[in-house]
Amino acid sequence: MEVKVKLFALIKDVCGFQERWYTLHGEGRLSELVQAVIAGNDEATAMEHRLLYAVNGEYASVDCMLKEGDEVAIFPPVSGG
Amino acid sequence: MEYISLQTEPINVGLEISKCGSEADGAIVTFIGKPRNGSRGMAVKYLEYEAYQPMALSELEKIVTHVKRTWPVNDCIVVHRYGIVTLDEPSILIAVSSPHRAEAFESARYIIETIKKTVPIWKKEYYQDGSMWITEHP
Repeated sequence: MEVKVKLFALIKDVCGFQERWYTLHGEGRLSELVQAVIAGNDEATAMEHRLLYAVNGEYASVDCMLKEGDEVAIFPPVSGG
Repeated sequence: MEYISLQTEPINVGLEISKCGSEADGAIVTFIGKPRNGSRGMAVKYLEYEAYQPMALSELEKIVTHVKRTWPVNDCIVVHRYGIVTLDEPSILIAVSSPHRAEAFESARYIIETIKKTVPIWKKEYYQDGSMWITEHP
């Protein structure tokens, strides 16, 4: 299953990319994707407990199941206003 | 009337506020947010706002929909900048009109507080020698 990942703000800088496609081989949970994104990156791993997730533009839990072609956004707490 | 805008252009405060309110309204409450200098002990040169645009717009729409269902509000305007914002420019304008002031104050407060929790927009402060993403809830 292939999904599109978009990163924003600090996690984008820490991971060094804004958008990338990932292939998931497991059961397709968001948590599996998150581990694939932050694997081997100590700074990203340290941020994990603060990260927020959205699937196709709606906030999602890290336990949710993904579908082929989903757009997954990963970002730190928001700071607009 | 509802008007939501995410824009790189400076906010025309007077023009936006002039669109808010009708004869049925007795109150127009506005909130203007702007970059604050030196909040972390460093002189800020300018800010950059990054937005996850489609989701930011849909979250703003949810907030405005909730406001109109919860309070007797007639007009609701939310304009948020993204991209570079200098210290002398507003980063956000909220204007709400209602027959009585209590609902206008309450709903304007709800809008800004909820934006700071749910709308995917992030700010980065730029200093003389570096920059920093701001992630705390103020």
